[in-house]
Amino acid sequence: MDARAELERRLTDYVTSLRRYALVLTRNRDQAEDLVQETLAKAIAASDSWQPGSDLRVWLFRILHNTHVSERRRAKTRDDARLMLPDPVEESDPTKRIELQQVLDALEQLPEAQRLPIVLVALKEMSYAEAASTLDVPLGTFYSRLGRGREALRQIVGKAKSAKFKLVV
Amino acid sequence: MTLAEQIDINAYLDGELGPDEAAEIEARLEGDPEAQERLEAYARHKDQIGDALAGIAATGPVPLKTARLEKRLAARLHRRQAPRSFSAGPWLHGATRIAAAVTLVTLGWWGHAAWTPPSMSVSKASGVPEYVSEAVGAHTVFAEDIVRPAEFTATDMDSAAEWFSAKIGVPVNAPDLGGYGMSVVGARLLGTKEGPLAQFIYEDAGGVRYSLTLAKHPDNRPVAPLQVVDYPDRAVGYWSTPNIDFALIGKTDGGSMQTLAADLANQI
Repeated sequence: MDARAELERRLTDYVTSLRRYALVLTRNRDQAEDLVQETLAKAIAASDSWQPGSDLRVWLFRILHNTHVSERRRAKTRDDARLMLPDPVEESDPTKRIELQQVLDALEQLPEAQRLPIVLVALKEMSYAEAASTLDVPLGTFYSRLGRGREALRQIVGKAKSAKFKLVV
Repeated sequence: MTLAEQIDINAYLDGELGPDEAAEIEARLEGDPEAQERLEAYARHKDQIGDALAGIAATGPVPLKTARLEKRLAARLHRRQAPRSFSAGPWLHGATRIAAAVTLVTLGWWGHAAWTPPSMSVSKASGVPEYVSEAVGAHTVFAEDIVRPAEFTATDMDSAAEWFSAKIGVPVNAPDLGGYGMSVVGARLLGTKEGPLAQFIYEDAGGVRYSLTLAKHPDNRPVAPLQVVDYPDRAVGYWSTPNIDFALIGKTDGGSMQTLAADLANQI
């Protein structure tokens, strides 16, 4: 495969990841697509600042994240819509389906500062250093936000479970 | 459980630990059912969220506008990735380019005249190996010029090392010369007829510039021990390992260069 085709293939993968992350940030498909397009337009304009050999994906994620943050600051709105995650209808096991819904509900309750580290790591493509760089926070801050967030998530899910057991018994 | 312990479990789960650290966590988990339970819960939730995320956006056609932007970005980035020749830096134009060429020729000539090779370890065509001549020329043009920007600045050394290693074909990076009071200030990749050379530029406390140039050691040449050559106004120490040829250049006398380069060669 020549270098150009290889680059295009990689970029398509990255754009798919960007779209997923944009959906988590904006909670709306149209807004997410707008955010992806704006990210690409900014990347085209800033392509001279990309260092060949440096991580293209992290560079794009950073642009997307910063675009989102500055847009939200401008709009000064807090979107309280549900977290844009798919309904877990594909899971046929009802117990698993309920737990998945509990986890997604719990994720939604976390503050964004804790939610985003969890989401970036769950995308399974990013190391801690890359995710911290995307969020523009020091690595130590990233560690503690992820630590606190996952523990909070565990406790919320735990409570939801025990509430359910009480109901059943 | 403390936050530090939670962080350890997370780092273990996400594969962020080296084998020793991971083994340490495993040993700790062995006798700690509560920690095990946490690890299992974190892992399960991570998978569930990951699967849910993977389910997003997997369906539906990609909007045309996005696809067009993606193509345009690929074209731009491809242009940036395309190999550049030695003098093709965007800023190296006209007179500068000629000056660079003249410098290379002059130094090449000095290399021939000032130094007679020992029979081993040297290419037949010139007094010093070609890569050393190239390295000296590049040192004069780039390293001693404190105004021109380096292709990579000191903060980008990881990216530089990654890219250089890919181009040169063997792992190269900027050795830490802090022990000699020198810190890295920039780096660039040079395209030469000898192949790509990685140039790392260092500065000592007095602002004197040194450059360390690395090239892939050709398979068909013997591994050369350290040699020191005095060029006018600067000295060059060069040596090889089985994988990499090195040349260290600075405005210093042959004796100091001998000490510095010998020490460095031993270390590497």
